[in-house]
Amino acid sequence: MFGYWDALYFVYVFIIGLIIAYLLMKWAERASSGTRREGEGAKIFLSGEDQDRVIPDFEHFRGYFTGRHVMWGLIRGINRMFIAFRREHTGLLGDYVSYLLITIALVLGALIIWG
Amino acid sequence: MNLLYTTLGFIGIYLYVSFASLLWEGIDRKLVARMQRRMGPPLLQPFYDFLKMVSKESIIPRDSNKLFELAPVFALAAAIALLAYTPLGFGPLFGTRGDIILFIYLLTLIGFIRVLGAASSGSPYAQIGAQREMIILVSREAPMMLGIFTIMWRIRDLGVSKPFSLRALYEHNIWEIGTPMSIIGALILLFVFMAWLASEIEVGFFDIPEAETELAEGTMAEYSGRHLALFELANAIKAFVSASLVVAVFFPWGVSGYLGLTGLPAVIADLLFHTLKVFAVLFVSMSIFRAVSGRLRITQAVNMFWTRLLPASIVGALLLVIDTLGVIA
Repeated sequence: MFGYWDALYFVYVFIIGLIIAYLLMKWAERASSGTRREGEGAKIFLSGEDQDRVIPDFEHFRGYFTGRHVMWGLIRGINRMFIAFRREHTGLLGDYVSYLLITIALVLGALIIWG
Repeated sequence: MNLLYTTLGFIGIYLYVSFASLLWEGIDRKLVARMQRRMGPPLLQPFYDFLKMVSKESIIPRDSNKLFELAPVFALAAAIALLAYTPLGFGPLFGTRGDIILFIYLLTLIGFIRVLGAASSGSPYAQIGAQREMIILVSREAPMMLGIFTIMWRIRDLGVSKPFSLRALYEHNIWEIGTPMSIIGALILLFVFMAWLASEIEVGFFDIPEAETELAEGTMAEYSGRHLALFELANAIKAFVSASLVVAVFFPWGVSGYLGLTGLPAVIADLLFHTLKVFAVLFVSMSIFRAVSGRLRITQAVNMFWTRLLPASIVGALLLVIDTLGVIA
């Protein structure tokens, strides 16, 4: 729209977005009945459990999540694909060379067809 | 001067889409309620909800960090910036060559900011929701991106002024090619896009990150008051924008040409017609889908994307590619 510097208008547009969002937030802050940051009401929701209660042997769960299993759903979801890939990793040099040749053949085929 | 008018138009579009997207939420809730033989809330309920949430007290969990409070502002800012690159019956206001990449980036950014906000809340429910959101985010984009780039590449050959821009969708569309292979390929990609849209707005099968009955709103578990209001507005805009992409790719036709309109009346007529099409697409992909389907497990959803929708997208893309060879004319 504006020529060579088109891409930089993203920064301009994002700043406008930030200003509108900030103004909306400030208006909402004035219109609201305040903000609660401390006290009983500022505890996290744990289905009625008290965040501060320490359960013996479950100290490591205390309302925090370590993120250790972040990829769990993804890995389980495409488990069979992972197994298939793992099976192909035989460790034999001949196999890897054949994969390379097949890939080159596909690329060459595409280049020959589309020039 | 040009920039000033464009900026004013951009702010006008933001106001219009905010209104239309919240109105759609009301229509959707009413329609789903009627499908389930309930009365449903009033049509303007999302507006009342927004104002009510704004007026309520915001509770900030004591273990949260600053990002928890900033996330709604950034999410809404990203949603507003996205409108500058959204086709709305006419080319995007700030559209340029290759803007489709920026469009996808901004669309993904909103989800990513949600994840950051949820992860900053200190709640295990929100954290589980956040990791689910992240997983579904990386799974759903692959089929959609393959589909959209193939379509963009295909219509580039028809002679568009700016290749790989969203404006190009209004110059030529995928149906114009007209060969049997291209039509079948486009229909397959349409199916993939409708499934992607349902997952983008997280309904039906894909209501996994929020999962009200299981995770107590998941990513949004700790949000309340004005922070939640801003997130809800950003989500409503995102739903409208996502559906706008589907409409622009597959149903780009306008009415201004038939009515013989030019200038501003043509823009308004096309915008209104585009809104109707967006509502129709959302009706199928959102209202009906969430009325007739239940939630999948996260592993099932990931499986569906990688082993069903991605292959479907590959088949659709291959049909469009093979079509260029002219094997079946």
